[in-house]
Parts: sequence; C-alpha cells; structure tokens
Amino acid sequence: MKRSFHVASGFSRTLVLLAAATFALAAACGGGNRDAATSGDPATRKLRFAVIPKSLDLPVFSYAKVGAERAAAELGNVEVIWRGPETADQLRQKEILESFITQRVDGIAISSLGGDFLNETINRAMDAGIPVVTWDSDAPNSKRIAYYGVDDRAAGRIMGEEAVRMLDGKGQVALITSIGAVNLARRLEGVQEVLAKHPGIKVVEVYDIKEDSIRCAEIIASGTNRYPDLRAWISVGGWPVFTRNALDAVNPAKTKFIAFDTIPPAPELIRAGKVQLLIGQKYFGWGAESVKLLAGIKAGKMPPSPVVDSGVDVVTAANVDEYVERWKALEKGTH
Amino acid sequence: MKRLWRTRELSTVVILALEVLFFAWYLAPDGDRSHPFLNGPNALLILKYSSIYGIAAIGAAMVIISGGVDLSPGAVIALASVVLGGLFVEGGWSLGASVAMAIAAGLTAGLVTSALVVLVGLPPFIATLGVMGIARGAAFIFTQARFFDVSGALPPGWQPFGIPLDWFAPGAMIGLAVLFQVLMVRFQWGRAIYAVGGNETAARFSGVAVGAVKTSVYVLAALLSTIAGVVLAVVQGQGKADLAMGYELDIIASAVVGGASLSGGRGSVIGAVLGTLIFGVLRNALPQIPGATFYDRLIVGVVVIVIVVMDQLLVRRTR
Amino acid sequence: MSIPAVSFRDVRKSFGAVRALGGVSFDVAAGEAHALVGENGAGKSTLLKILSGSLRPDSGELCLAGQPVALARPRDALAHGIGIVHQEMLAFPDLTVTANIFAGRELTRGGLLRERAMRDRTRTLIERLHIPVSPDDVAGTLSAAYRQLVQVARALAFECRILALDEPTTSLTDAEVDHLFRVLADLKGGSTTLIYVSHRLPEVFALCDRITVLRDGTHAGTFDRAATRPDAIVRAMVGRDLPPRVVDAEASGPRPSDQPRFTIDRLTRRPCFEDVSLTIRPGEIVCLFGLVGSGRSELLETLFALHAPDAGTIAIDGGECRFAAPRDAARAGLALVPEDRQQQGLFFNLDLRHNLVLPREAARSSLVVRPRAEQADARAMIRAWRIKTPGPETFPDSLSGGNQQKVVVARWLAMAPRILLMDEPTKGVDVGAKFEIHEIIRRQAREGAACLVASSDLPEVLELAHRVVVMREGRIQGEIAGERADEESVMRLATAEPGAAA
Repeated sequence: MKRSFHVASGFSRTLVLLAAATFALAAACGGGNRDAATSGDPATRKLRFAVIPKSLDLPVFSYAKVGAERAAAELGNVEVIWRGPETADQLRQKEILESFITQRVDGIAISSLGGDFLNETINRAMDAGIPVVTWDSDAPNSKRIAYYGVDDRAAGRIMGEEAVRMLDGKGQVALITSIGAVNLARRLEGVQEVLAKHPGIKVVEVYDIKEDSIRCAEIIASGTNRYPDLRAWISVGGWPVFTRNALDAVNPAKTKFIAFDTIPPAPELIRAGKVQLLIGQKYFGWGAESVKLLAGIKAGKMPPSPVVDSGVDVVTAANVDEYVERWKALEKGTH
Repeated sequence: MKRLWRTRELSTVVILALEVLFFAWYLAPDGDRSHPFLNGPNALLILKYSSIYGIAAIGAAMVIISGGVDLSPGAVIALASVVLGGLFVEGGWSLGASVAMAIAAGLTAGLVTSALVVLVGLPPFIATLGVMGIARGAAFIFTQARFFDVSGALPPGWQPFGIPLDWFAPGAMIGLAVLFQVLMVRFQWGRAIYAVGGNETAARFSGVAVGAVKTSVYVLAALLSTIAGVVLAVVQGQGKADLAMGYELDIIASAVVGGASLSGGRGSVIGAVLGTLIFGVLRNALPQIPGATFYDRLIVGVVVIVIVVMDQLLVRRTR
Repeated sequence: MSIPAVSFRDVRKSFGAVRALGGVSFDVAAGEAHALVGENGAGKSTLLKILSGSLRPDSGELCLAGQPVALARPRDALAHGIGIVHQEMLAFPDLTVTANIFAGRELTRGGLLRERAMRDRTRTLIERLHIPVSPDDVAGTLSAAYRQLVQVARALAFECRILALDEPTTSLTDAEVDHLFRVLADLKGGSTTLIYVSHRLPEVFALCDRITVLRDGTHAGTFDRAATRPDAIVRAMVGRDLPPRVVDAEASGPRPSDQPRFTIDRLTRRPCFEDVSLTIRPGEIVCLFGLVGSGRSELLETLFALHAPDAGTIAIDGGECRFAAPRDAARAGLALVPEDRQQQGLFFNLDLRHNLVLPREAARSSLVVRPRAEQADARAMIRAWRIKTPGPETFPDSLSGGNQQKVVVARWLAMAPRILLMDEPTKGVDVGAKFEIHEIIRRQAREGAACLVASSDLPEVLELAHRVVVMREGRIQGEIAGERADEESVMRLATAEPGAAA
C-alpha cells in the first residue's frame, strides 16, 4: 500500500507536467487560428459551412475548395470547413458527415460517394436543423434541399453524340466508369442511350476502375492491347486526363479519346492531340455556388428548384486556347 | 497483479479525463452556439466509432498479456464483414446464419494462428502476419473487389435485439470488456495468461498447460475481431474487403497505452478499451481544430510515445 | 629465475555480497602448461575473465612478463597477446571458419575486407592445428570438437603468447581430446604459455607441468606435476575445517523395510544423460552430486515430465508412470524446485500470493480464483517458512535471493509432495536461509517424502544425504552411503575417468 502511494505521486507529477506542456503547446500553436476564426463583431458570428468532397486525393476537388473559400470571403460572414475522406471510402465519408452533425455546423455541402448510402445520415442532418445541399454527385432520394451540378445524363448524351460523329457511326468503343456514384451512372446511361441508337457502334467493354486513377492507366493499356481495332474510348470521369501519361498506350491516329473533366493537365492533352473532346464542369462553382446556396437558405431564400443545372463546357482543339485563358482568369480570381 | 491494476488503469482514466477536459476547453465555441465537442450525440459518435477498435483491442490485450502479438485483427474484421455481407445481401441467407458463418470464418483464422504458434512454433509476429495476409486475401477473393451494402438489405429502422443501432456497437464493446475483464481476473485461466506472459518457462515448470493457454488466447482474439467485423457490417452498413486496413497498429497501440507491455505479463482488458477511447477522442476532436486536418496522424503518434514513456518511468520507479 | 609470463598478485573480486576471489597470488612460468583446478564456484572462471579483460579486479594486480598491466577491455588483453578459448562455444554458427577466426578483428584495407589474406592466414592456422576443415566451411556444420579447435585457432590468429583454455574438453570424445592435446603439446613446445582450467585431473596430469588449486576463492597451493599425485590435488581442492556432521536426534532416513517410493529404470535422454537407474525410499534424501555437464538438471526435468525421455521408465510405489505434462506429475505427487529461480521459478509480474498459489491451482485444474482464501493461504505459507516480506501483496523482486528461493520451495511443499525433486536448492542463498532450507528438506523427509536433491555444493551434499549418487557426463558413476561419504571419496568419483573404480 505504501509503495503504490509513492508510485502514484511520482507518476502524477510527471502527468501534471505533461498536461501543462500539452496545454501550453496547443495554446501556442492553435491559439492564433482560433483568434482568426473569432475576429469580427461578436454579435454577427460566422456561419460554419462544412464542404465535403468525395475524396481528398482527386485533384479535381481542390478547385471546389478554392471556389468555396472565395465565396466565403466575398460573403464575409461565412467560414468554410473543408474535410473529406483521404480516399474514396464511403464509410469514412459517412463518419465525417456524422461528425459534422454532432459538431452542429450551420450548413453542409457534400458530393456524395455512394448513391443512397448517405440518405439516412443526410436526413438526420436535415432533421437536426442543418441544411444540406449536394454538388457534383447527388443524393436525390434524401431530404437534401438542392443539388448543384451538371445534368449528367445530358452530358453523357453529348459525349455519345460526339463519339458517333467522329466515328461516322461505325466502330468498336470502350467505356470507362466507376461504379457507385450516381453522377457517373447517369452519364454512363446518357452515353449508352445514344450509342444504342447506332447499330454500327459496338461497345466492347465497360470498365469499372473504382475511382483509382492508377488502375485507369493500367486498364487503358491492357484494353488497347486486347482490342487492337478499338476506335474510341469514352470515360465518364476525369481519371485518364488527370495525368499526362495515362494515355501513352493509345494511338491517336487510330483511336479517339473522349473524357470528362477539363482540369489541368487535360487541356494540354487536347493540344497534344491525344484527346479529342473534353466535357468540363464548373469546378470552382461546385464550391462557390454551394456556399452561396447555403448562405441564401440560412437567410431564408430557398432555391427556386431542387436541381440547379450548372451547364457544361465542351472543349475541343478548336476552342481549347480560349478555355485555358478563361481558366487562368478564374484561378486568379479575376473572372 | 491487483495492485498494479489499481494504479495503471486509474492513470489511464485520468489521461482520458484530462484529454476530454482539454478539448472541452479548447473547442469551446464563442457566442451562443452549442458546444461542438462536448455534447451527447458527439459522445455517442466517439463511442460508436471506437467500438470497432475497442472490441478487437480486448482480444489484442489478451494476446499481448500472454507474451505474444497479433497483427491480424484488421484482416479478420474485414473478412467477417465480407462473409456476413456476401451471404446476407447476395446469398439471401438469414442474418443469424450469416453471422454464424462469419464467426466460423473468424474462428478458423484463430485456429490457424494458434496452430502456427503452438504446434509449429512460429513467432507470433510472423504467424499473425501470415494469417493477416491470408484473411485479407480471402476477403478480396470472396468479394472480387465488390462490396456489400448491408444497410440497404436491412429493413429501415431495424434494431438488433431491440437496441437502437447507434447504441449497439458501444454496448457490445462495454459488455464484452466487462465479461473478459472478469474472466481475466477472477478465473484461473486468466491468471494463467498473466503467468505465461510473465515467465513462460516458470509457467511450464509450474504445471500450467502453456500450449492450451496460448491457443485459447489467439482463438479468442480472432473471435473478438470477428465480432467487431460483424458489428461494423451491421452498424456502419457495409461489407468490404478493404475495411479496417491498418487497424491492427491502432489496436495494439490502444492496448499498450492502456497498460499492456509488449514483453508480456502486464496490462488489462479494461485498460485496452480505455486506450481505444483515448484515441477515439483524439480522432474525433483533432479534425475540429482549424488547420490541424493533416496533423492528426502525427499527434496520435506523439501521444503513443509520450504515454508509453510515462509508463516506463512508472515501471522503473517500482523496481 | 626467469620472469614469469603471468603473475597474479593478491587479486580480489566480489560481486555484491558474494566474494569470488579473496587475494589470489601465483605465477605462471613462460612456456609452461599450467593447470588451474578447483570445485564449482572456486573462482577459476572469474580469474580467467580478469586475465582476458572481461572483468576488472577490485584490487590487486595482474603482471604480464613482469610488468603490471591494467586491462580495461578484452581488446586490451588481445593486444597483449592473451588468447582465450571459452567454455561456452562462442563460435558464430552461420559464418565460415575464416569469418569466425577473424570476427571482430578483420583484416581490412581502407574499409574493405582483405578476403584473400584472411583465408590464407586461416589455412595456415588450420594446417598448424591439423584440423581437417576448409576455410570456407560453415562453422555450424562442424562437429563440436572441430569448432573447439577453430576457437583455438581464433585465439592463435594473432600473436598469442598466452593461451588460456576454460574446460575445453567438456564435449569432446577421447579421440578428440587426444587430438587437442597433441595440438597443445605442439604449442607448448613453441614458446606459447598455456593456462588450462579444468576439473578433470587425468587430463591435467597428462598435459600440465604445474597445477594451481583454488578453493573458495583463495589460492590453496601450486604443485609440480612431477612431485605430486591426484590424491593430493583432491585434498587441496576440498580441504577445509569441516564442521562436525549434524546427525538427527530422531531416527532419520529410510526404514529398511519400506518399499521404494520412486524407481527410475535405465532412463535415457540423449545427449544429456544415459542409462540412469535409481531407487529412492520414503523418508530418504538422495543427493545427486556432479560437476558441470553431468546432466543432473536435465534428469530432474525429465523426471518432472518437462521433457520426454528417449528410453527407460519411472515407477511410483511400484506402479509404472508415464506423464504427459508437468501437471500430471504434480498430481501424482511429484514436485520440482528448479535450478534457476529467476528464469524457471518466479513470476515477477505477479505478487507473492500468485507466486505461492499458482502451481497448486494449476495442478488442481481449479476454475475460479478465490482471492480471500488464497491470501490467507499465502500468509500462512509466509509465516510457516519464515519468508521475510511485509505480506503477500509484495512482488518477488523486493525479496532477497534466499527468500525468493523459499517462495519457490514453499509453493511446492504446500502441495505435500510424496517425491521432492530439487535442483541446487541453495544456490546464491545466504547462510541463514541455506540452513532453513536444509531444515525444510529434512522435515519433508521425516514426514515420509522421497527426496532427490541435485547439488554441486559438496558440504551441503554431505550434510543432507542419506545416500550420495555421483553423476558424471550423463551417467551414474557410483553411489556412496551417507555414513561412508566424505569429500575425498565423492570428488574422486566425480573427477575419475569414466568407468574407473572408485
């Protein structure tokens, strides 16, 4: 008994020292941040909006972050909390969403990874009084207030029609997608709908790359090997054009490449002739418009319709230079 | 053994309390906003997401106390979730039968591990490393990289045994922790585990059935990992082969932070669960600190080292 | 008188309370083969470690060729030309012969190994020592004898003026011993000074010119081989003022009419012991005496079912027994107090109550732990065996060696064993505890237990034994009845040639 007391005293001494050190360290490091968040008139405190992408490792979402933060700065009373799963993991995204509910944020804007998987959680947020909007990838069967993004089906149809035009209605085509997200599924439906109308076009395979860009490169290489007469690839996502060398295996003289998403370095691939057509989304708008929608909802202004169509950009060799100029302006914030 | 229990577990509780107090202070909101950290739903969230680690940490603690180590929990969790998911969602089996098969799969993994360690004599690190690969591989082969949407197949508002889903996971963790703590302290078998971990040779010389003790420990650890996988599939709603990647390190760290020594003979089940909660609180609170999003891994690592160093100082003072 | 190659002047060394060497002084002449003999614990190994630089003496000095030297580390000894061949085979089994010889002292040029030079040197040494191996053979594949010779080669690889060998022939056959001796004789002729530590007197007499005897850490005489006989050496090894033999007032020892309690018949476990046969009657204390390598511990462990024997049987009260595990042996009434209480006996992560109660509960296969009953039992045991500790909640590390040993003894005696096996029961134990443990053993015998006590402590053996059984190299050399046993007769059996008459 005597010894355990002695032990406890020596131990608790170290414990207290450690706790003090931790407090001091944390206060020093993070104290600054806290001040920044609470500066301004205490009466009009800032609204905290959580913006959740599908994953942090896809570069396309970083533009959403830029757009969101810029909109927050413009609005003045909004603080954006950007948090997402490191890889496209539905469970992790659900955990993050739940965490924001318990943190009682003022609004949530999310690009949903898995169809109806998050419906229950989104509904719980709405029931708790936290408005939810979706962007890029919708959760239409949930209670979310609005969705900002492209009309995926229409975009898919455009891709299909352009492919038919380039191939003169004849030839083998391979499709690339990732099973799970609703937006990708809709785009795929749009493509297949159009291609089905032309009997000369044969879809040899629909590849599922599970949101893995590296796997995408492998599939393009092995697919090109397997189907030497392939006339076109259509990818409903931007994985093949996120890097410069995923398309090395493709011979542009023989095979056309149509893809979604125009973020750099994709336009360069058009200039290099590797890609013939890109569908661009409003990347900065994902963040900016969602934040503005939430701010409006908090101020009592509901959006006129639950689906806010952002429209798409169709980029080819003809207008790629102009597109890149516009993009640079957007990046600098001078649009 | 009892006296150490009092000191070590108490200090873990103190660390947990300090941690909660710290974040309660640090994350306190200004104005009339409600506290983002210190509220009921958030506490439940921490418990819910910690319980997967916690249930497996019970088994890990027993293995570590016996002088071994187990690298397979993550893989067995995934395997269990996948077997349950596959049979229930695609195979159309009843939930009970799917759970039973998942348990059978996990027990098989545990038997393989114990055979490798006890009969073949492999070091536990190697044996469980191998079983980890086999279990994970089996999960991938079974799913062909699909995943099973268990929550979609369950009726909405379904409650296991009448317990709300969100309470089920922490309830299971606490119930199992209490059960195994009692087994370890009040039963001869539990004491034999401490003896084997403390001095295996002396245990043999004292007539303890060392092989049987070790076998039981690895099988139980696998069973607990399986239960964690079943809970994961049912509560979080998915059966996937790549779930719980890397969980084994967090689980072992939880047991060690809770008082288990990797050289065997020390530690407790309750301590491991408390260690899990310490990390659970960190995982929940750190992302709420602005600018700290990518620091959480670093901070978790630092916390482990700090707590273990303090533990060493404690042990050295007793000698 | 030429300058001696090695001189020890009043060398003293203690380890805590244990005095290993108490003022040893003698000379080793240049070019001679000098033997160092003594019982276990006499201080031979300690002296050798001081010579090789592994230990520093507390006081006194070591002189080489007349000059006092201070060896701070083994490297310094090597630099002075001292080579040691150790008792424990220190070869690297996975490395080649060449690598073994040069381990730690590789020949290099600018950081790169000079493989060719090392291999050539190795070949020269191998030929000199007539070892039929190649420099590239992997050490683990060689026989013990050749590995031993590789050790000798390693000692000789550098300018070696003094070669010390510590019990080099423990694992060698007669033919291999002859080979080694031829090699050593060669070396002696070539002006290397040999120091040969051994307790095998025939070898000592075959090889050495002079013999120094150590006893209890002191110098008990240096003899010219030509002018002395083994008897004299033995007497010097053991000669001390013996306290009068304590004889029990009550009749002690086995009653002649009793049936044997424990019968061991031709028990064999290679390579530790072979063909051991022994009977012990209830109330009898049989002491198993033997020096290093005699196989006593392995025998006791096999009797307690920790290992399975290759051949032979054991019987209790006439009925043959086959135990699968120590728990079965314990249930049948056996108890083993192991040799190394720290490695084999105590649980340092559990308090005394658990340490005292665990084997009993394991043997009973009890299900539940009953803390209050166990605390009471533990307290009773502490009181009964007079273990000096505040209570059963203390941990073994706070006890002295003697009290730790009492814990290990007490836990087994609490099960009232009918056959008590003990391995070095008073090793590292202070005088007071030693006496108490002896009393405990005698009491067990009086109450009818059959006791088999292995010990290398000759006075202890003589004090306790109703019968002394001497083991040497895994075989029983002979038995001496308690009354007729004395130090010389026992030592003679223990150091004699295998098969020689007592």
